[in-house]
Amino acid sequence: MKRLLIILFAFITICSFLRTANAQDPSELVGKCVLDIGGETTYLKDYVVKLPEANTKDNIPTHKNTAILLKNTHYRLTVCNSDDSEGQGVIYLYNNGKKVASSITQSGKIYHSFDFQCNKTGSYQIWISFKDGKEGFAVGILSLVNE
Amino acid sequence: MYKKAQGFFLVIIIFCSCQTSGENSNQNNNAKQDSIISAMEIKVSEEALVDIVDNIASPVEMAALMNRLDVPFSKAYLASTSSVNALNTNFQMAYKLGIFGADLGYLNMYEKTSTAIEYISAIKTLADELNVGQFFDYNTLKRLATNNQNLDSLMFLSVRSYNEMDSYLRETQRSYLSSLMITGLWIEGLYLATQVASEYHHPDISERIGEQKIILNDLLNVLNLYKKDPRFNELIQDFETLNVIFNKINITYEIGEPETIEKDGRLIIVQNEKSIVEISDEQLNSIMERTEKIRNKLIGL
Repeated sequence: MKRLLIILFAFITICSFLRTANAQDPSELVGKCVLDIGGETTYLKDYVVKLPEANTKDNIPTHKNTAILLKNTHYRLTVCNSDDSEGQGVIYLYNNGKKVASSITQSGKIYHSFDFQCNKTGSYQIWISFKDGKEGFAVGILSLVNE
Repeated sequence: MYKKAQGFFLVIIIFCSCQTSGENSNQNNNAKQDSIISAMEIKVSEEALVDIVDNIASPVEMAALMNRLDVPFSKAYLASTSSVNALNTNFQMAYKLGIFGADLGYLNMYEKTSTAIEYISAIKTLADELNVGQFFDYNTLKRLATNNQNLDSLMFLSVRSYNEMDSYLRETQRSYLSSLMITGLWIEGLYLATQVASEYHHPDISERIGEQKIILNDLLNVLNLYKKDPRFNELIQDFETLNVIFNKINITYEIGEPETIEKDGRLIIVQNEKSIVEISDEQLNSIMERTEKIRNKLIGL
C-alpha cells in the first residue's frame, strides 16, 4: 500500500510538471525574447520551434513559415534559444526560393537578430533551423522597427 | 483498500488528461452550436491553410505607415462597438472580431488608450462567445490601457492575443472562423487606409493600397474553401468585385542583389530588388468606394 501511494505521488508530480511545462515554456520564451528585441519595435508574429537532431548533415530539420512583407518597411527577425537548447537557432529569409537574408554570415558568425529593409512586397518564407542540425528549442520573432 | 486506491488512481489519470478532453468537449459544443454546417463538412488541408493564412499581412504595418507619415488620428474611421451584443451568429462575431482587431491596432499605434478600452471590452465579449476568450487577457490589457503606461506591452499583448486566437481556431477545426477573422482584419485595415487616402494624398499610402492586390488574392483563396456556404459565397462575390478593380493595377519588379551591412554590432540587410505599384487616381477612387461598401455592409451600416 505504501509503495502504491509513493507511485501515486510521483505520478501526480510528473503529471503536474508536464502540464505546467507544456503550457508555459513557449509563452515564457516568447515574452523573454520580445524584451530582448530592443526598443522602437512592434511585435508582429512569433514562431515556436522545437526540432529533433538531424539524421544526416544534408537533411537538417527546419521549421518553415510564410509571411507577407511590405515594401518600404523595416523588419527585425530575432531568434532566442531556450536555456536548455542544445542547438543554436539560425533564421533565414527566402523569397521565391532565393535566400535574401539570414542571421548567419558567410564567415559563420551567428547573430541574435538581423534587420531587413524590405523593398519588395510579397510572400516570404521564414525558415528556422539549428546550427549543425543539433536538437533545439527556440522562438523566432518577426517585428516591425518603428522609424 | 487496494480497490479504493485503484479507483483513486483512475480519477487522477482522468484529471491529468482532462486538459485535452476539455478542449475536445469545447470543440464538440462549438461544432454543435455553430450554424455553418456546410463549412464544417469541407475537408480542408490544414497545412495548406496555415500557409495561406499566415501569409495575410497584419494591419499593424498599415497603422504604422499612417503614424510615420504624421497622418492625424480620426475616431470617425472606426467601427462602432455599440451593436456587439446584438450579434447572434458565429459568422458575424468572427469577422467583427477581426474588424475590431484592426481598429485596436490603429488605436494602439496612436496611443489612444482611453478609446482602446471600449474596443478591448467589445473584443472580450466576442472572444468569449467564440470560446477563444482564454487567449485575450482582458484584465491586463484593460489595466495597461487605463494606466496609459507600458504601451509596448499593450501592443504586444493585443497582437499576440489575436495570433493565439487565430491558431487555436485552426487547431480546433474552426478554420472557417479564423478565415472570417482574418477577412475582418484585412478589410478594416484597407478601409482605414482608403479613408486616410481620401483626405491625405501620399504616394506611400496609395502604393500600400495598391499592393493589397497580392493579399486579396490569398484571401480569396482561403474564402473559396468555404464557398458552399451561402454566406461565404456572398462574401466572396463582394470581394470579387473588389478583385476586379485590383486586377487592373500593375505591379512590376526591379531585380537587385541584397546588400549586407554590419553596423554597431547589428546585422542589416537591405533588399535591392524592388516592387513598383502603378495605381491611377481612378483606380484608387474605385477601391475606396468599393471597400467602403463592403466594409459597411459587414458592420451593418
